[in-house]
Amino acid sequence: MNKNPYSVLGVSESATDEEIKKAYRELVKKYHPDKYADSDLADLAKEKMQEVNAAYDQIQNMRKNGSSSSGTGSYGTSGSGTSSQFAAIRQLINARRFSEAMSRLNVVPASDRNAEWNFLMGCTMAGAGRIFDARSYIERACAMDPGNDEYRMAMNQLSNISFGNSYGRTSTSTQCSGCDMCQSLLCADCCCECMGGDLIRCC
Amino acid sequence: MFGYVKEYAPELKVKEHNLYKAVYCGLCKSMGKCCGQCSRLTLSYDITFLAVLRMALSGNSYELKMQRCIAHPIKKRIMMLPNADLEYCAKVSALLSYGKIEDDISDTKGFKRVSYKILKPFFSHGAKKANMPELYAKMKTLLEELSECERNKTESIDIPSDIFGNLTAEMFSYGLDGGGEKIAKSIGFYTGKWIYAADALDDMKKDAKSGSYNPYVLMYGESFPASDASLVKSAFTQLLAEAGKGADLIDFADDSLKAIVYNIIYEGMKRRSDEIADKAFCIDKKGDKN
Repeated sequence: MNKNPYSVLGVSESATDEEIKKAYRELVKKYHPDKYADSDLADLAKEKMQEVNAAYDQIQNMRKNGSSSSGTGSYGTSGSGTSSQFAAIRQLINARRFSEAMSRLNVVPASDRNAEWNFLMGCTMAGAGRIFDARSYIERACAMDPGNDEYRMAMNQLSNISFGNSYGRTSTSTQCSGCDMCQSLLCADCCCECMGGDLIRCC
Repeated sequence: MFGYVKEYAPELKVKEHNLYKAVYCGLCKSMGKCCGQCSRLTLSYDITFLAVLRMALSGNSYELKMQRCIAHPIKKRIMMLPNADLEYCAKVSALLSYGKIEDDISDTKGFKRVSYKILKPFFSHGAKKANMPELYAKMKTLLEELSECERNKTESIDIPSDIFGNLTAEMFSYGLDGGGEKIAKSIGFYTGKWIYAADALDDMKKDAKSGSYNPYVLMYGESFPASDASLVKSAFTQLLAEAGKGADLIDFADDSLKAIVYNIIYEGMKRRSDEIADKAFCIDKKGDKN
């Protein structure tokens, strides 16, 4: 897990998302379990595949969170208040071993279930595809520790997933809706008319 | 061994080819150093592939230097200085030659047997210096199994080539552990199987004349049905693809070594077996016309 995720995929840190995706797909093909189905090397290939998957997720998350720092976790370990108790669980999550992480989290006594516990529980749920459960845990984590950027970012990320990016509910500046287009066209029309031309005949 | 496992130079970069040549020369020097000067005669491209592979698996750094050698005294050449991986391969080469000559002595009669007996001390010196009794015992058992298979005139290419594959798997993987051992075993097995099958196909005509053991001759007689050409070729390709799968799992620290390994498996060996198959089938076509 200490390897730089970019070197695992064999790309430079400045690679575009497309390049990363391409490299990732190549490696998935290279280590695909079907290819090693009857081979003694199946378990080695599986390890490699896990490594590649973890690296890809880590890069995806780092890029989504807008940080290029090579943190150790795909869920952006910013280091704030990471106790040793949870470090191992973070690693499990990064390795996408969610069921193991879940069982480890479940045995934590109620008294130790702090903001970080809620956050990790949320990450585990999200990884296992239980987005709605994940929301409530991460919401609780945010409520318990409102100043924590890591939790807040995870919350934003989850909102994006559950409502879908296409409707632009989270209104990131790069998105362009139908409304935006009409507005721009009208604007352009006005400008043209000022100069004596016309872009849209009817108005 | 046989010299079938060779690089395909036109597809290598100059620096990669230089490294390959440096490994070859370094191996020769290592043989002289740890197994006596006579063992240098056992140098082959097959063992060079083993050396490149062991170096890729160990990930150890290496040193290159311009040096002269006995075979080429005038011009200095770039050579790899002896290291643990090269020395291992030198020893393995000495052991294999000794194992083979012991085997040949027990298998042949008359003049040939005498000549092998005369040669034997030259090889036994190297094998003694190599001093790897555990590996040698394993190799010896497999070589005996192989010659028994040949004595029984087994009508299968898979049975003897599997034994030979197991032999090379031992040679490739001895002394390694964990993932490296598995990878070396797998690449070694398929490389060995390929070597045996390619060698048998290459010698088909010769063996048919002399009456020596050759599974292809036993199965098909002297002439190969031309319709089997693509079948034989694809069988070779499959063996190489399996070897390639092993190579895919190596964590290469050195890009040049990586290029050489892939070049040998996918270019050099592929071209060689295609060539051998083409030759085997062309001869048959001419025979049909006559």
